[in-house]
Amino acid sequence: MSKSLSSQLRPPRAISGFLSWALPASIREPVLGDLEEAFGDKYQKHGMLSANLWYLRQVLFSGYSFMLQTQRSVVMFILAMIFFLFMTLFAMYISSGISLFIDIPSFLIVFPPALILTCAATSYSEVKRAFGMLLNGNRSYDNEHYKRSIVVFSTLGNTGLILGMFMMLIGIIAIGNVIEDFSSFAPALSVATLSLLYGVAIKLVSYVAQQKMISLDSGLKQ
Amino acid sequence: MSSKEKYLGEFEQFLLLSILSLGDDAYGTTIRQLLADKIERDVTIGALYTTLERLEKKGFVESKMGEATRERGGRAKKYFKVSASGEQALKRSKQALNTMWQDVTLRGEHSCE
Repeated sequence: MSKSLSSQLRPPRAISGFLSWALPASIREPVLGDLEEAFGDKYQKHGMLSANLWYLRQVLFSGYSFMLQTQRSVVMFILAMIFFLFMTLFAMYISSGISLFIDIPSFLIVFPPALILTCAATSYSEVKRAFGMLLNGNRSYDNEHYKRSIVVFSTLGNTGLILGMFMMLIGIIAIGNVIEDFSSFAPALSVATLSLLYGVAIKLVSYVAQQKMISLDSGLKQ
Repeated sequence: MSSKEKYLGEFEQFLLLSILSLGDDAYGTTIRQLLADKIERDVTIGALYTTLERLEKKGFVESKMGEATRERGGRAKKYFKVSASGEQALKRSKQALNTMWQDVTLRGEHSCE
């Protein structure tokens, strides 16, 4: 079999990635191998479209049932975050419109620095692992990993909040310079306050993530 | 042993019979293929492995990891074998079914075992 045909016979990576995430470690390798073998067979007999549709069906049905067993806490966390986002957007919409709360410069001076400072306080690999632990309940981690993740989310939340306050203070000082011009004072204060809003949002999400890690850690101790 | 553990479900029986029929070549793909060919039952790989794991926990099947091949993306096979207690469970379920079928006659049939 030529190399190009061999690579064509591979099932779509994104779809198999979802199944790999959902499967218990004990059967991950044989299940993915069986599906890949059957996919290659279907590809040669019925063509690419039929093989892809068959593979997608297998992954969705199997992945869904395994996901509820292995990733239940992760699914709950994601649903809670979606609910929080929906309620926040709804509150913004019924107040003055969502666009009033979106300001790219305020976002850029809070979110990336918060992540970078957290990496500086802990390490890049610890931050990466902490987010991985949040989104993958299928792997086994020890108490030390959970403790480090608690530190990561605590640092991220506090750094985000302090940065939000810090940037707001800078904004207020700048506003003081144009305080006589009331027409530009009000919108400038509104934008400066957005930094604090983004900082509080980071603190809130990090707090939930931190509590989740504490809960998983105490579950491991019992 | 509870009656639930004593008798096998229909799908459990199909799986044990497939493994016995396939002998040394019983793994996920061949079991799925056999079920599709013989009884036209297209099962998802998830349902298959969930039941196989349950049977393994009950001690009715044993498994071992096999070789990794290129067409499987370098992933190993998991071979299954019916244990002695699995064969006993199959026998019990077959006898129970035979007993229940005795003296039963369906419409359009003259007699049943």
